[in-house]
Amino acid sequence: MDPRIKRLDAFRLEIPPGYKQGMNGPAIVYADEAVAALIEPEALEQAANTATLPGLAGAALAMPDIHTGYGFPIGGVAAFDARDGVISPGGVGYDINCGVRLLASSLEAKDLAAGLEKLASALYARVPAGVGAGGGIRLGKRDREAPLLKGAAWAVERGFGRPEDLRRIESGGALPGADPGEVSGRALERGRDQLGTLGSGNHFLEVQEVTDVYDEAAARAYGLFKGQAAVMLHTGSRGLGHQVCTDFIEVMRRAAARYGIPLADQQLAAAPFRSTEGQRYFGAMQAAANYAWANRQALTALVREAFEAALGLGEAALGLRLVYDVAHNIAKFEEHKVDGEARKLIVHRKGATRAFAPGHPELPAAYAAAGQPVIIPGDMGRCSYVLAGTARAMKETFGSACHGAGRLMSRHEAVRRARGRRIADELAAKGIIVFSSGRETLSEEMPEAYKDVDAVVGVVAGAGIARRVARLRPLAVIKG
Amino acid sequence: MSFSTFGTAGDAGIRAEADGLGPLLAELALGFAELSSPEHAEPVETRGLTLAAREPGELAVRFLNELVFLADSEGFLPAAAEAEVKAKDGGLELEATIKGEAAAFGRRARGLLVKAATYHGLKVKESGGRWTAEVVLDI
Repeated sequence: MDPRIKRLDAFRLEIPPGYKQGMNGPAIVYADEAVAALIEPEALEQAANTATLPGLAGAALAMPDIHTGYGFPIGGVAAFDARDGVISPGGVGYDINCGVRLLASSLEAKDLAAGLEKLASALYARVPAGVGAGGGIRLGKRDREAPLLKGAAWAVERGFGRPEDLRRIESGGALPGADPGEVSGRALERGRDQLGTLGSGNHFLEVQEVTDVYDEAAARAYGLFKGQAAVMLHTGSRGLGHQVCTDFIEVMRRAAARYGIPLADQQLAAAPFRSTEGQRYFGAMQAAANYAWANRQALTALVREAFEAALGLGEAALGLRLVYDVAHNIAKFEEHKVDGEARKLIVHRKGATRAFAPGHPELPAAYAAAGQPVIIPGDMGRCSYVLAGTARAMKETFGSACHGAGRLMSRHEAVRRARGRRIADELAAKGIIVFSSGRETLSEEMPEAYKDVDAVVGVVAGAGIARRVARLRPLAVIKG
Repeated sequence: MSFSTFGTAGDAGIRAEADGLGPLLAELALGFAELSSPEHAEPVETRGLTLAAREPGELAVRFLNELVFLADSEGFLPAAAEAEVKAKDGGLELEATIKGEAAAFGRRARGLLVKAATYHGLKVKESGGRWTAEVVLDI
């Protein structure tokens, strides 16, 4: 590692402002010695590049699941002043409001054992997944804007899920500043039949078992208990969000030149938040975020249907109550204290999860004492976590924590290393059933392709920016 | 003329070389098809594209993003491409004809879902009449 990068304590590194010309503050990287050894030098350069954008508040941040992205690193958090700072599509990513939600069943995992194969098969049959998989809810021309404005509530109005679900979604499942008029016809076309679809790559649907509870009071508040069966799903705004990002990277490249914003990387293209371009992107990005919440809400209804069909149980017996839904690719208008001063900021979380502390007014009343559930998927062979936000996160990270394990090897490298192996059989030997539509998906997504999420969560917990509540292991995995 | 694909930290990219910018873009199209599906599409339908850009790198990214749109909106995968690039208004204009197969994902093995072509680490250059490109795609 570059000797100019200083270790502050067991869980924090600092890239000082003098590391790179134009940095407007330091970059703080959350990593212990073991995790730091796995971080690519290019990802650290990207964290430093992020700090060169105008209006940076405090420090640019990198979570322990950091890896190289485009412009911002994945696992990056950066907040910019809403008056004189910027907004950047590269700080959100192509999959706008990619996120995770967790459903808690009333069943124990042992209750599923006999019917698990049938359940996984029913989920695979009902949830469209994979490259080119439309087959979701087809939007007519007159319907196209409604999910972009209403988000998850649109899906509930259409019969996908329960009204009470909306209270357990970050921002209630809809951002009020969405402007569908800034979403291009191409983006709408890509999103036309992708609501209620999982997608491909690292997106998944898993049936899980709660294996460990670390914080009984928080787990009780979240409705989690040891041995419980749960469902985690990970997806985002699909082609609609990808196209919004593509469209606005072009807009922002021109805007950056017009406003004289120096770019350490073309993918950092940005515009002042208060500029026309900045506001146009913010409106389009929020519309795509709402589409993603509508998507995860529609998928939730499909999951519940699959459970009912496979297990022959009704809603009351199954439970499948929404614990929480978090975005991990998003830019949000939030107020935070920076050096003791309350400031209105545009907080970019790219591969990072909001982690608000107990008592935060945006949390549902039931979670006020525990803090916000922070849902951290691991990989399909090991485990995932539920954490809780902390006061320290509010103070240090704009209320943010990591978003997953973080990739360790490229897809090509994973496929090469998996050659001659049967990943599905290896997982089956661990009691995990896997369904996948892509020929190489299981190789690309094999557990060793990711960092050990235990180590990543260990850093987050050690640094005090989130605390462990529960650990879950996969029982059945559906991949695109 | 040739292309190859490569891996990045979480994603993938295409390298190509050819004896002109137009043929180079045609090779990138084939690289995109290979990443999207390990099975070759059939050249049974045609799509025409006209694009403008300020410089070759921008043109390559915009061209690939057109292919991403066609793949995601109608399942169109390229089997062959012809592309001609001309200087226009101080920049470049591309006219391309793509032959391929629509709704291909229902019939072909599925590869990677390409979200977008990016400007990250973008290299498109000419040396001694030989054009080379390296484009990273978000997966």
